[in-house]
Amino acid sequence: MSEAINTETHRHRQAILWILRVTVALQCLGNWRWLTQVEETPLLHWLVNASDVGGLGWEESTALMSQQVLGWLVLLAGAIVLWRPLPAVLGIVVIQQILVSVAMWQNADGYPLQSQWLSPQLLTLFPFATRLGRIVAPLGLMLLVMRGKQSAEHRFRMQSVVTLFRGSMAVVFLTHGIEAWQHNPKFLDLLIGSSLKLFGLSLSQSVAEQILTVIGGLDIVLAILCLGLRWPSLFWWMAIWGGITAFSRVAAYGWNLGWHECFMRVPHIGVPLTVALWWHLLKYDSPAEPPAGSANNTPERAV
Amino acid sequence: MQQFFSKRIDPLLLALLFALVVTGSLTNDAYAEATLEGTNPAQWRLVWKDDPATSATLCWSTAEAGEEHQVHLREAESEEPIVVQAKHNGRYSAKEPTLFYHCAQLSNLKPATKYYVVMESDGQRSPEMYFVTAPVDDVPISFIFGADSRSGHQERRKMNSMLGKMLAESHTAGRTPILAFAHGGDYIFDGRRLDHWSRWMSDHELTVSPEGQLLPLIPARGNHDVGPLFNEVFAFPAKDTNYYGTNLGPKVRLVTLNTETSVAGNQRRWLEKELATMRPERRWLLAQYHRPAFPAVKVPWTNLVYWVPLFEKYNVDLVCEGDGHNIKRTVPVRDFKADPTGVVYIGEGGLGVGQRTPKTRRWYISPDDAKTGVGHHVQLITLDQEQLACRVVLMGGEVFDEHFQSARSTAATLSDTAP
Repeated sequence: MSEAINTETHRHRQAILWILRVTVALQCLGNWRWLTQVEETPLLHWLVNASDVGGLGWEESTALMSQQVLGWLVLLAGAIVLWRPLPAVLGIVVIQQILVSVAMWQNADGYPLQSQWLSPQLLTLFPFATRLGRIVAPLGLMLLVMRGKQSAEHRFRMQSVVTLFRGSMAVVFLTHGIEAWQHNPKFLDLLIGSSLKLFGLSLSQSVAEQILTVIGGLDIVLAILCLGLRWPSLFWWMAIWGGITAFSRVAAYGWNLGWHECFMRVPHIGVPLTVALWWHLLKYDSPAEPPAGSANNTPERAV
Repeated sequence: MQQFFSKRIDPLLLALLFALVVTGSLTNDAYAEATLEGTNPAQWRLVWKDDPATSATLCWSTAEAGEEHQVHLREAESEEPIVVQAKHNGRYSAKEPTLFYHCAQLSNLKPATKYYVVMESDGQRSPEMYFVTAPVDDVPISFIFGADSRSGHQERRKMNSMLGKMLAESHTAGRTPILAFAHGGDYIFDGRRLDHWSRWMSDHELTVSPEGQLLPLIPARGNHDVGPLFNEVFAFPAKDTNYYGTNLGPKVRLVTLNTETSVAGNQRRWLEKELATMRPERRWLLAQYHRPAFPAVKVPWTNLVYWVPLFEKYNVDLVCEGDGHNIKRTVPVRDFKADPTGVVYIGEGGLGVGQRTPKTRRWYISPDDAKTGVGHHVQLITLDQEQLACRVVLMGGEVFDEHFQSARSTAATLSDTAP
């Protein structure tokens, strides 16, 4: 019985690691295309922007070359992660993701959140929140593959990563929910374009806005629920929704223009999937010992 | 048959260059650098929207709220000014700095007429300036297109001074008068910050000509111009989506679009209706907006999918784009191919912002009959009964590019080939 449980546990652990490895690899592929082929990224704009507006004022050729180097490094990192998830290699991906977020912050790029009670300076930090899932996917994997001396330490690290993932998904869904609630024009056009291309359905803007209001409300509710409930179905849904929204880029823009946009958002599938699988794993991992914070061993129970 | 890409240099252009050099010593400081103190009027801007032959909006800022704000409006031939109350007043919606806007709607104006204006807030008066309304007769006109003044502060000021001088020079005998300045967006770096806007509005005073002529502004919203301040600065209603058409004469229609709101939704439907209505009535149908559908540096915006087919269907004559920070003129484009009957895309923005290198291998800017470059610039667009001329004027007055195209025949104003 114990051997069967151990086998199952090992299988789940491996599944979690592989989900994250594939997630990061695809994320790297999308970022490689963005940085090296598309080239026009917030990072490039930050590098070439004049210093009077918070840019670094680099020569365009230097900035482009630096971005090319980073893009190819990221692709190499993605390939290495599939072969062997080395923490140092994952660190490169984390740094690249943070750099893009910093660039968006410095460029005042990203969705212009409308708020009367937050200062403009604070509002410019919004991209860190919307992009959190893309940062924590490689970061979480990096923490998981760091070797602990004892299994208890490893388990603690896994729980920490899952907590980090839960929190980050809450933030990502909350911020995207707010964007949808406020009818981000990009979301409107994605919805209108996708429904036309996939279903031949010509949505009016008012209908698209109503749909976005519902989606936004649902996202905000999910963000709150996922912090309060240990409910794997919630994260399964988040993963499916993450997949739908990522794929909508391909549906709206076509494969050639949209595939890297889709791949860059794969963490919105991989991260919630990891949380859901971890809770399944807990069923097998310590049947006699309920997971911390759980009243019993039923994952569906609120904590 | 269109006459594209003539290489001849217009003698009038040489005259313009000469005049710019000669008038280089003249400054428009008398109408710039207004002090933002108390209720002293400053940061004036004249905004044109639907019908600039008979209406305009004059806005200014004050450091204190004040109580009474008005414009003294006097027709050039008249001695008696009329007083127009500024009915659109308020505090700019930002925590700091504390500034107040005042906008007066000037209506029932006479076409092609010179009007003198003085702004007054609680007894404090601006210098007397003037503007000229758009014509209703079918006469040659010109206007300036430019974009991207969001950084490069000193260069922005130099470009604004040059605009003021170009305006003055264009109103001399034998020249086609410049009516307005279509700004294609990205005025400032962060549209949520009033300190950025305040600096831009003060710099905009430099566009007043040395003789005191206000250069009317036709504003388009850029990706950096986010937030409610844009509508306050340019006197749009609070929730306005900033797409509209402007008559620059009985035969010229400039359509201003907004790439920062939904491109595929209501705006696309409005655009189709606008173009369908205007194309049969207008000899020249032009559009301006910020993010390019045919960029020289960046990636195409979604207007490539939703607007370009309409431009081709209704044979828009010229499309002005910003955002790329370079100089661009595409080949005429139809159905993603170079086609002499197609639509020419110009612009990309150089009102101070650092310039980028155009990616000249792109098919729509690589042929010899296209043109790209680098440098702070504006496009001077002149339209008469037969021909459209688009000239790229660099900071300092040098003409970098000249492009001519003939008016389309009436039969060709609706395309059979476009979807």
